[in-house]
Amino acid sequence: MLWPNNMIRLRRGFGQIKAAKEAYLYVLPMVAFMLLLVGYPLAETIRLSFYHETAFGSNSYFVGLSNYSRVFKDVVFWTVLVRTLVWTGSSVFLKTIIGLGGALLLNQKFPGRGIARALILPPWLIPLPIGAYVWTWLYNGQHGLITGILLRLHIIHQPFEMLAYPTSAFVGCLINDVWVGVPFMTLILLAGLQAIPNQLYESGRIDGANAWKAFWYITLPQLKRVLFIATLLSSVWTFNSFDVIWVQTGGGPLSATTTLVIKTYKTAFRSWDFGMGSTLAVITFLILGAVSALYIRSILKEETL
Amino acid sequence: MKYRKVLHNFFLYLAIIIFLSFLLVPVLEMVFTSLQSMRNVFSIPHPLLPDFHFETYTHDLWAQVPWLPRYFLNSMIISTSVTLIDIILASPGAYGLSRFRFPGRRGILIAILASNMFSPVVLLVPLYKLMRLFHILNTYWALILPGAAFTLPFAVWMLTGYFEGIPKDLEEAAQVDGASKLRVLTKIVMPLAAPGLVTAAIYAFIVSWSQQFIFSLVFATDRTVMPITRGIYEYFGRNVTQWNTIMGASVIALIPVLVIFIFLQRYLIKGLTAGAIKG
Repeated sequence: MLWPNNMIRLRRGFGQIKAAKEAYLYVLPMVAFMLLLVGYPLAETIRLSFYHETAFGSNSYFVGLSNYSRVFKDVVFWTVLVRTLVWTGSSVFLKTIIGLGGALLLNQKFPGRGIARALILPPWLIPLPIGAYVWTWLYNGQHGLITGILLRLHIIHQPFEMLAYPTSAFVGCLINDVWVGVPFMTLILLAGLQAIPNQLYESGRIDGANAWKAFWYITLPQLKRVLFIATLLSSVWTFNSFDVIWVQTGGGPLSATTTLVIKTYKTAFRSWDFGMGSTLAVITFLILGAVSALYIRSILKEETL
Repeated sequence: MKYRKVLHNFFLYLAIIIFLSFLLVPVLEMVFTSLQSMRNVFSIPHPLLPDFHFETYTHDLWAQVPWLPRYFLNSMIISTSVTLIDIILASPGAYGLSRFRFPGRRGILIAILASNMFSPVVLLVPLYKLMRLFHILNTYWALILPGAAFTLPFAVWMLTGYFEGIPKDLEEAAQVDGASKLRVLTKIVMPLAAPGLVTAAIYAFIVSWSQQFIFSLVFATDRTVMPITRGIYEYFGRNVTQWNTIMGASVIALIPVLVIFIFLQRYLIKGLTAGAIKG
């Protein structure tokens, strides 16, 4: 009685090995490509973070943790880190609020809804540097649109150069970044809203819930997971924003818009310090890795990979 | 009741207009500025409507940014190559991941999810060294290879989900009928996966078009390979006053994206939301 069963298991085992071989054939090119262009560079970044190395000098030597201790002892690093967190937090908050508002609006039935939904895409579609050129022009203190409107409304009486002062430059970059991120938020949350079963609202209405209560007790709880994923992804992207800041201010004025990725880039390719640049890159990677782990865990809980 | 409805609609439309204005006024202003004459660009306060100075497109642009057509061509070459590499690597990869259960599969899927969240900045130094080693700095490859590496994970993830939605029975039935594996793949699986392939390709193209900027800052500063997003920056970097031509060049840089927006919009929305809803 045991024999045939074992045979079946054995045959199935062979079948699996064969199937695995076939699968590896499909997967191998992609894996090899990613190992070469992401896996190896990542390992090399980690290695370099323990080395002193510049772009031009040929002497590269092991320095242990000294790059890290230099970074952690540097006040500027902590300022940049806090600034990056403020940047990410406020931008994601605004994107979420505006995106949720937009999604709720576009979920209403009204003539022209299809067109309105299509019209939210452009900021996401427009290449980041191009969007940043446009915003730089909008902010232009002499001839830009924003100054123009404020002058006409007599809110300001002389030209205001938005990107020339630390706080306003930070806000300027932030608005540009929010503009880029709102379409994704809106569409994701709209998809989330559409997935909420209508019966919930109907039974809510029978129980006498008004629009506000329906939103608070039905919509928000139902939207929880989508909101979680969307804000998580958005946080990573916002943390990584490079083009928007680089084009508009290059991290200035007075470093007011220097976030961690800008600092990492500048250290490696303006000061040409590859060792320190890699150390900052590893720190960036670890922060992003912690957020990605949350994201991956949430995906694994939901789906069996 | 009727009165309330009108009021409700009024506020609904008002809110939608405010929301869309925030998103679209910058786009409109880009187009408007490209149609302003220099006299208008310089007037204070800023004129709200253009004076339809079409010479920007018929003459000024090409005289002031003579390299613009080349930059555009460079961008097309880079983005098209990135898209092709992505599809060539991702479609068998995603097929393998969706159809087979094998040791290491879970690990690969997790790695794909994780690399989706990477910043290119993290890997710029080693990639730079790698390219210097292989003497491909300042070539198209310096922009194509990292571009493909950073768009591939999403393409694989999206296509894996897509292949999983295609019933296995069809393939098995065809194989029972004596069709070879290759035939099954090309005649049955690929056509069924076509919408997914289009979505993945569009996404790769758009992201690559935007991402070329950061890669070219580091890997390709030569004008002969410079992408258009970066080419405008060269011009923009100086003390600019020719805002009409800058905005005109920006409009030119949007053409491929615009074509996709107009003709392939349904794939676009699917691709944008796939990452978070399905994934």
